[in-house]
Amino acid sequence: MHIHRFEKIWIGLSLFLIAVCTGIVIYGFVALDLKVPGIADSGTIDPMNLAETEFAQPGVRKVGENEYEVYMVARQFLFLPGTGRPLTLPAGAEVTFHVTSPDVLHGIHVSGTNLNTMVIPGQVATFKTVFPEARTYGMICHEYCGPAHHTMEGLIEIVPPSEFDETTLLTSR
Amino acid sequence: MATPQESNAPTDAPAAEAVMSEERSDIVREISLEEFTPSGTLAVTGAYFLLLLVLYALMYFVEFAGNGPSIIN
Ligand SMILES: [Cu+2]
Repeated sequence: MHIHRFEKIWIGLSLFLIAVCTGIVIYGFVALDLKVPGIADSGTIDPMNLAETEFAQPGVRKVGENEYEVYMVARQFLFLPGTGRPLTLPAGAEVTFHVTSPDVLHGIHVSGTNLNTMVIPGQVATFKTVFPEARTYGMICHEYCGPAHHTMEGLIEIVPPSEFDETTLLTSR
Repeated sequence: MATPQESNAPTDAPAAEAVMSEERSDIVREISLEEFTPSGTLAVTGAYFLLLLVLYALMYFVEFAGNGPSIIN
């Protein structure tokens, strides 16, 4: 089949564009360390019975020198911890969030950041991040979860490591 | 009014041929496919393509990657 040379040029450019888009995403994943939320390796949990899981006591646990784990329950219509009293974390620490729901589908988006995941009953959404500076972030539920969905919000307070009160940490698992 | 059956391709074929024949008086010059060079179209497409690349880079590297903290694992 005969193809006009101009058409060859823009067929080439389209293929180049696909390569560029794919390349940038791979570059972001590998070099910029931009990952996506995952689900826990341990499989599913029973959403009707969170009392028998590590979510029985939602909160922050220290798991390493500068590493923390947050166990958070998103339920109609609050984040625990986060709503009412802010979730407090030290700046610069590696923080792994584990979020689950005992009732319906929720979402969590830390406003002004790329931290965003769905929260599905029976599954544990997991992601790791570092908050570099001491400031307060708002978080909202972004999956419609019921009549008061629009009020479902919370706060994350990032404090300088020297001011972080370790007595608020949970000890047991 | 012709019914759909009457206006089928076989009856239209001679007319379509006539359009392309030398009998058409409004054809000034015939050129081959390779001689047809729509440079303006190429320029506009090229400019749009460059804009697309620049905007994609801005969106990804500034609005997304620069919007930290991000999920790192
Ligand atoms: Cu919700």
